[in-house]
Amino acid sequence: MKRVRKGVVLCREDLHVFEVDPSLMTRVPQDVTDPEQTRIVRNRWEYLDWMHRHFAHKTVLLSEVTDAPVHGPGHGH
Amino acid sequence: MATLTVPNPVTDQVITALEQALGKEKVRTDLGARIARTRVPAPFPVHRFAEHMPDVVVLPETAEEVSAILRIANQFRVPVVPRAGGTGLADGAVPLHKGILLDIKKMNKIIELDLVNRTVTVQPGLNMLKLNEYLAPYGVFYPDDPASYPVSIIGGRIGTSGWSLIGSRYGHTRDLVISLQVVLPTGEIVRLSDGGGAPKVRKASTGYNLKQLFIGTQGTLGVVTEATLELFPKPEAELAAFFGYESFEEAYRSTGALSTSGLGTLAAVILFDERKVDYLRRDDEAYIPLPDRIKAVVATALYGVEEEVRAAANRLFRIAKETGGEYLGDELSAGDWASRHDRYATPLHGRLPDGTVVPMSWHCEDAAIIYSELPAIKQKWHEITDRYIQKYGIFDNWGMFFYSNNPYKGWGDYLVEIDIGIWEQALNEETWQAWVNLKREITRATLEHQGSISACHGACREGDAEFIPVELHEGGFELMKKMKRLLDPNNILNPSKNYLHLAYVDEEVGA
Repeated sequence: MKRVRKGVVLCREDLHVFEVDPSLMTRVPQDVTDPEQTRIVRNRWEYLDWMHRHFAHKTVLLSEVTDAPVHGPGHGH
Repeated sequence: MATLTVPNPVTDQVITALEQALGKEKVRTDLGARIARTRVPAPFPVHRFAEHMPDVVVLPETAEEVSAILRIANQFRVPVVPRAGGTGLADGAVPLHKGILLDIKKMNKIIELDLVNRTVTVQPGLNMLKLNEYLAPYGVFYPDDPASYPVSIIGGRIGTSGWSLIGSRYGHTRDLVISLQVVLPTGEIVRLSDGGGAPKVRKASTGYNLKQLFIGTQGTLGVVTEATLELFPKPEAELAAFFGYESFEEAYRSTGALSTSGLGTLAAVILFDERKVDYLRRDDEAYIPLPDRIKAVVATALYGVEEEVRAAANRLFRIAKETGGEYLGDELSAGDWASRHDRYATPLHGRLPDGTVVPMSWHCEDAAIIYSELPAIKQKWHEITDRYIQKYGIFDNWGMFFYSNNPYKGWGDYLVEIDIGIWEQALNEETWQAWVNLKREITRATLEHQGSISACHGACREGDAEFIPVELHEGGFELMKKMKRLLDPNNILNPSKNYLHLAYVDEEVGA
C-alpha cells in the first residue's frame, strides 16, 4: 500500500485501485477482498464500455484525430 | 368556508373508494410501500420522517384510473402527490401533507413507434434507458440524458422540466416532448401540444402553447399520462475531450471560447472549479494522479455523424490549446464522460473537518446563472458553504460544476452546481435549520446575480420555495397562483409545493 497524496493510498498497482487512507476510515471500516475488488473494477469498465455503445455507435478518441497525446499528465503508463 | 390550506386526512372511506375504483392490488397501505415513497435522495430531515410519509400508495395503469383517483381526492379533499422514479433532488415527489401517493411506475408501456414521422408515444412511467434499448434496433434514439439516466423516469423528467447532459446538441426535456396527455386536478383528460391539438406536430401557432405550461409543474397542475417524444438518429460517433488549466480564470475564459465555437455537434461544455478538482483528486481514481498544477478542468463532448465529429474535434482541440488547455488524455476523457450518464451509481461519502470519512447524502444546488456572473457566484457560494462547515462540522464542500444549459447551443446561461455532502445521521432540528439557512443564503446570492433558483431540479425545497415569489415578483407568481386556483380549486394536487399554498390563503382573506 503506497501513499500517493494526502489521504489517498494506492492499494492495487495492477488495477490502479486507490483507496482512502485507512486511518481516515475508522468510523466506516471497509474490508474488500482482492477478488471482490477485481470484480468491481472489471465490472465498472465493462459498464462504461456498455454506456459508450448505448449512446453512440462508435467512440472516437481525440488522439486518433489530432496530435493530442494518448495519455494525459499523471496518467502515463 | 373550510380552509383550503390544511387538507383532510385519508380515512377508511377514501381507501375503500380507491379500492373500488382501482382494485385492491393497486392500493397499498402497508408500511413498506409508504416508507419507500416518503423521500428522495436529496438531504432529508430524517428526524421528521413520519411527517412526510403518505397514508396510501396507489399504482394506476391508465389515464382513466388516474382520473378516478383525482376525482376521489376532490370528493374527500385529500392531497395527491404524483411520483415517478423518485430520483429528483428538489423534493417534488415528497409529500408535504401526507395523503395519497400516486406512483406512475406501472404506466410504463410504449404505445406507438412512428419511424416515418420520428416520434414515439409512451406512458410516463417508462425509463429512458429501457426506451432506448427498445429503439436501438431501429437506429433511433431519445436523447434525454440526466445524471440519473439508468433509473429516472420520463414522467419525472416532464414534471421537473429536466436538464440533459447532451442538451446543447439535442435539447432538454421540454424541447423533446412534442405533445402530452394530461389529467387535470379535477379529473378531466386533455391532450396538449405546441399550440393546436395535433399530437405529432412540433410547431404550431393555433391557440395557446399549453404544452409548456404542464412541463416543470412538479405535479401541481396535472398528472401526465401519455407523452409523444422526439426521435433522433442514434449518433454515429461520440468524442469526449477533457482539458486541464492552471487557473480557474483561464478555464472560465476557455469555457466561453469553446461554448461560442459554433460547432453544431457540440453537446456539452462543463467547467470544474478548483474545489471540484481538489475533491476529485481526493476521491476519484481518474483524477487522483493529476499533477497539482492542474487547478481547473473543462469537459467537452461531441455527438453526430462521424465525419462531422472528427472535423469538429480538430477545431475543439485548437480552441482549447489556444486558451491554455492541456488535454487530459483518452482514458480520463472517455471513461469520465461515460460515467457522467450515471452519477447515481456513486456511493456517497464525505469528510468531517478532521478528514475522517462518514456516509453523507448529496445536495446539488442547481441555479441557472448567466456567463458573466459565474466567477462572482463561485466565490459567494463557497464563502457561504465554508462558513457553515466551520460552524457545524457535518457538511462537506465537494466543489462546483458549471454546465452549458441551453438547447442547441453552448452559450448563454449555465447550470451552476455546488455539491455539498451532509451527514444525515447527525442531523437534528438545529442542524437541519442551519442547513436550510445555508440554502437560503445561496438562493439570495443567486437572485442578486440575476440568476434563477433552479435550472433543472425545481425550487420545491425549503430554502428555495419561499424565494419563488421573490424571483417571480413582476407578476409571474400572481399569475401562477391564479392558474393553480383555476385548475385545482380544492388544492388537492401536490399541495403547498412551489409555495402555492399562498394561492389559497389569498382567496380566503379575499385578496
